[in-house]
Amino acid sequence: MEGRPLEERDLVEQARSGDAGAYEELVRRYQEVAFRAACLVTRDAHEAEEAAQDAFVKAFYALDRFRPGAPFRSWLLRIVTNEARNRNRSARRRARLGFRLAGARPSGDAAPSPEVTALGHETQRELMDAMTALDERDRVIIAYRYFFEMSEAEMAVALDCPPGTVKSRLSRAMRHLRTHLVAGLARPEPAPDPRPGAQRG
Amino acid sequence: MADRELVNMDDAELGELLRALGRQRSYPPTPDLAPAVHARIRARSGATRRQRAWPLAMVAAALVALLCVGALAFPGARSTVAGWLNLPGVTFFAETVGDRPVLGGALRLGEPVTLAEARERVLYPLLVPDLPWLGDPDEVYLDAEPAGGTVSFIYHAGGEIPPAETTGVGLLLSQFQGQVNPGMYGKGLPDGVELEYLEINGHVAFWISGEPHTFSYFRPDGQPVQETSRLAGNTLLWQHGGLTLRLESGLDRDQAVEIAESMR
Repeated sequence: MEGRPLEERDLVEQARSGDAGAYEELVRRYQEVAFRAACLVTRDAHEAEEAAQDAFVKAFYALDRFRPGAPFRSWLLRIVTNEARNRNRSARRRARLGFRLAGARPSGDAAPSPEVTALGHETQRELMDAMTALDERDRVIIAYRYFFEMSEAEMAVALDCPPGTVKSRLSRAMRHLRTHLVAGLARPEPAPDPRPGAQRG
Repeated sequence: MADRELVNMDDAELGELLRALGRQRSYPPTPDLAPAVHARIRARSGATRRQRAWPLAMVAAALVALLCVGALAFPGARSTVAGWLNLPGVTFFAETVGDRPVLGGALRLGEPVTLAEARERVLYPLLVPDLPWLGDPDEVYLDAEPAGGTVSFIYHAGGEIPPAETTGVGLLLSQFQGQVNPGMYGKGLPDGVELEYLEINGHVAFWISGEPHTFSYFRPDGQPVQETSRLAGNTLLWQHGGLTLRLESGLDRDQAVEIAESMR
């Protein structure tokens, strides 16, 4: 949360006074993290897009309740994940489309980072499978910390919980992740995905 | 076979791997949400501006008029005024029940049913909100009165829905056929209650906010029924076709209007 540009605060202030243009700038700035957070909850790209869009609209009308100086991204993500969860609830009778966290192949212009390459594709798949198998709330906590690199203070805002409980919730989520990794050891290796372009590596 | 080293890593090591993984683009491409969000905000801002609140003097005059309406004991006269307000089956009724109405207890909404059962049993096409952030009703109730049936949806508190003051219910949404049965439906308006005039779907609508308030309901035989046990947060009353709808919740006006406008 440290080092947030002052500009964000200005944009929020302008948006709060009804400046839709300023808000549009905020949307562009945070749409990627919002969409990705929604993906983590819905595991469906279309649902995630709808959830993120609804969340941005809702957040605009809730700006009066935003505490000046608070991390906007965290506040926004709280709304996004709520929207995504509501969508999950609405969609509970619909069939899952089977979107996996790692299901989308990186686009051509985004080469895997050296660290990931060093992990090995098998390790990467195991890790992703375990993340996918996690309870959505655990998955979001881990993603906040390690994918979005949020501080514990930011996570407390995003999770709407006291700062003191972030560490224990993260620790519990990591324990659950480990359980799924162990479970993965017992599973046979999956057959190659027949979809064009779905096979990594 | 899975990577056994992964299982044996401590949280810090595992965290580093997750961090590395997070840096890779393993999500679908992010869509550009800004144009759609911008358009929706602009559209809704226009609608909000149309929802002009009555000036204070007009509200006071309206309240006086409505209190007078409430005092009328003639069903014919009440129907006339209800028609004049263009909200069939609804009028306002002021009744002294003490300074602070008593709230709480069972909601007495009728028989619990499924959404499908409610659709089959009422004599009108049932309207349901179509809003992602609201989702499906958690509970559905059917009451035989007024004629044609009243269907009530309960949404539990949680997420964006704050709990009501006494019941823990998040949102109560009821609908009944106002035009078929001109049974009166009223609301007491004690001190601290504000009334706003809105327009929803081209019809007059009322937004009643502030202190908790009670309901007075006229049965088809003209007898008033005091209801003090229902949810009593902010209330939106509006018309949709031949139906009159009532939404009670702790939501703000814009959220309530969003729900009303989403009814399909």
